[in-house]
Amino acid sequence: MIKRSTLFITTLYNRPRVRVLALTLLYLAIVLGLIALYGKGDFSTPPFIYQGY
Amino acid sequence: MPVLNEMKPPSTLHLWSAFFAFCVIAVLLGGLDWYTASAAGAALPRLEAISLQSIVKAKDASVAFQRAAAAQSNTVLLYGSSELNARTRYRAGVFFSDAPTGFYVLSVGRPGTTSLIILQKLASLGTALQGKKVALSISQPWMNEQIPRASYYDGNFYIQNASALIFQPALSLDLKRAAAERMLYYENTLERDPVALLGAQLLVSNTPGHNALYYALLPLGMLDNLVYRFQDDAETLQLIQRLPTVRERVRPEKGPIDWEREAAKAAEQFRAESASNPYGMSDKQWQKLYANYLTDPHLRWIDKTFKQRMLGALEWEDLELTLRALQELGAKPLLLSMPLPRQYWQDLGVSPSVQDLYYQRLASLAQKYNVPLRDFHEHADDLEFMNDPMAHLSPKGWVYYDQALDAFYHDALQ
Repeated sequence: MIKRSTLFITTLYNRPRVRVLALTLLYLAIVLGLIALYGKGDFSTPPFIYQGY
Repeated sequence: MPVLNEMKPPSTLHLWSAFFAFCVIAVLLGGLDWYTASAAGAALPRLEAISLQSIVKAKDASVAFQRAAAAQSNTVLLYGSSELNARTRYRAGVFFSDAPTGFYVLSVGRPGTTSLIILQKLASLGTALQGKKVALSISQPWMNEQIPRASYYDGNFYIQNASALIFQPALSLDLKRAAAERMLYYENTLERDPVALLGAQLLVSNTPGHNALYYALLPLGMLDNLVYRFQDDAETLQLIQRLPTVRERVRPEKGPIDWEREAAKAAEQFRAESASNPYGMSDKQWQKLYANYLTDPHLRWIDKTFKQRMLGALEWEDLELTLRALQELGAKPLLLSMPLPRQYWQDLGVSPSVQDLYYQRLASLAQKYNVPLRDFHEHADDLEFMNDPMAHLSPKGWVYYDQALDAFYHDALQ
């Protein structure tokens, strides 16, 4: 079973189209992960006491 | 994909994957930017009617709203400071929220916003300001301090706008250098973005080698700005989702406004709130602050110090840079300024002839850049025009501002 599955995946991965698709999804996942981790903008300003105008 | 099947060696496949992933990300971010622009444009009319402080602050930070307003032909952008947060229906943003004469006003500014902050906001819009009508509301108290207060600058500083100014390709190197020099007065604010800080330092160094390094850094700075733009889009979309429902203002009829009638109505409304003092100031402000100014000897002025401080204020330099930037970006500016309540300032120790130096200096700057100016100095003795002496308009004062903005939009300024 495991042997057959490995063979199936290897065969599949050797096909250029599948390989490109898999790699594209991997790259997208990495970029989206980075955006989720670091993408939030911090546009806050320090507090200040307004004293006149 | 026959191309892929024929490719040898197969190790180049990862380059294709990277290219496809890049395309997908670019389409997604482009879609986010487009969607934010249309959502921000649709939210503009109801934005001004909301006075919740959290919303006002987030609106002030959002560049997407300003960009959406700049893209619409029926909008005037109004930049200023605390006066733009007045709670009166005569405030321009609210007054024009149903476009009674065919246009809206997006007001941008919070307490303590001065010209250098406004310059950065304008730079973040870049060429979107080409041909756009932009009004600046100038507060005379900005010029009462030699260097604008660091706490006020910090409190209104947005790193994405500062970075946009430092790496704005539509602005001349000379202008960016002068602006960077001023921004480095508050160097700690730039430390949040090492690329922007380095860019500012390289600009200020102004040697051939440093200029070359600046140009080498420019692509990275522009990439930085692109990231800020997408972050701003995401923040703006979140803000739009948080916007409360507001009741739309409906006037009985649209068309030309009877300005005299509006001014009389506004004055009547304010009269009841300003009966406790001989200067026509808001009772609340009078009791809280301005009665004490007259009696406390430490808060009084003399002509000499007022003249020295006012004429030597760095704020003039910042205002000039802002006008230069508007000129370089191809915008059509209007300068608005609130008058100094003459009698109050005289009782504080500043004679009318010295007060007039402010109007003269402002007029000469406007003339230098060929910018129309309405300073309302003829209302310096009008006790119903100002809410208080620190550049806050009364409802009647706002009617006059509105009238000037209306004439500005319709090319009817005299």
